[in-house]
Amino acid sequence: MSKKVKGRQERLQGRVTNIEKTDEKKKDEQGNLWKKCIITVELIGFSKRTPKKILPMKVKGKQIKLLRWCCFDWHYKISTRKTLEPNETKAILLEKPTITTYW
Amino acid sequence: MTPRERLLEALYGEEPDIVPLFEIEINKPVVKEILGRNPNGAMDFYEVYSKFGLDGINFWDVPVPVKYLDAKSFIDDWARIWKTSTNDVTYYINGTINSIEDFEKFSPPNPYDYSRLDRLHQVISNNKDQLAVVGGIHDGYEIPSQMRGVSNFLIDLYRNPSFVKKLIDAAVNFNIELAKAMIDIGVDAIISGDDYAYKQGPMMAPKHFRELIAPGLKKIVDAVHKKGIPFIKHTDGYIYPILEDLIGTGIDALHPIEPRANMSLKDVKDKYGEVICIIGNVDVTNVLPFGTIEETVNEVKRCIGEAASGGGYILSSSNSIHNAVKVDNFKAMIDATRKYGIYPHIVK
Repeated sequence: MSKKVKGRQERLQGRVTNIEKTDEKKKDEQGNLWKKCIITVELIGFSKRTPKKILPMKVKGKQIKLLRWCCFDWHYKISTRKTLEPNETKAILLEKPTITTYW
Repeated sequence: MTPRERLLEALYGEEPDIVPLFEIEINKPVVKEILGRNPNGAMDFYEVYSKFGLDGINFWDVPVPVKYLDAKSFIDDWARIWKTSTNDVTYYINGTINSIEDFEKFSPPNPYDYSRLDRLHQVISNNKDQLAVVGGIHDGYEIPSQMRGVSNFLIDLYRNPSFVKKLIDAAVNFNIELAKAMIDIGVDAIISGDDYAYKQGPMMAPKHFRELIAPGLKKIVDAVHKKGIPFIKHTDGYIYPILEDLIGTGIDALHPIEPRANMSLKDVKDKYGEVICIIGNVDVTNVLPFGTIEETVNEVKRCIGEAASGGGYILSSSNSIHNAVKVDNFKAMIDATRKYGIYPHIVK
């Protein structure tokens, strides 16, 4: 189902298994306090954007860590799905960790 | 990220930058109040959706009059009687297919008729990929039941299922072609608007839904998927008894999870949130028409708290922005979504 989003890259998805809050914080223009978090995600597949894509065995079930700014209560739910950005997806598929995507 | 990308990301079960906003319809009197003048054509509706900050716009396939009974009533090209009310909203009155013989004399309309598609043409050619444009069709329940008259059709389900199948086939085949025509014009998604339920439960037995209605819906969903775009299903009412079968047709999104029919956004998200995108369900029965701005904001927070986590969620009213909705509450719903619906952002 990707006719209308041609050119947009595939995105891995996983399930959040842990969220660790760091000490780093920032305030946005509306006064909301955002905390830098290390989110641990267990990879489960690709998003519906690329429905025929199958997760390579080498990354299936792999636990990866992502950095995110989190703020609202609903950002801290465990066991929910997490969609990775295209550059994070690429880093994992190429097995080349970055400062913000590692394992 | 454009509004179109935002809405599509949610439909694909992904996490956009902010929770997207969508309404299947904003009734004419509300559009008039926002514009400060009578809307004149599709682009006036587009202007309201766009200026108010919605991420997608929908245009339904509307009844096409073939014979006027009086100044306000007409029979459409599906042999249904409609009446336009004083506030300029068109309501279904009854069907005129009283027998199999009547149906055999009936010819379905042409799905490629330009008059059905000109609003989509106009909007898509001016859109520049800004809003997601959704094409509104029907599936195998509303047209057949309205052609026969709803009570007659529900009796037919028991007494004359072969007649029901013929009616459903006609509606399904027409709507497959109509969806294809809309997709060829450039819509980003298709939505079907047939309501299967009222507040207490489905209008038909789950068995009849499974055996007669769901297969027709699945045919349409498959045809839309073959053309490469997502399919949204709208139905009001308490739909738990048919929900598994409905999701089994392969729909990509479900709207609006009606709270006043005891449908729980949290429950549907928890059970099906990884299979489909959830669209809903800010209360449009009490809160948006009669509540305060504070109550509206709290209702938005409830929806986001229950369904936004993990993506695959689009916020909307629990039906449409009807005549009684306060414009200030509608605006508060949009502003609150932009404020409290921001997803975790990537650390750069």
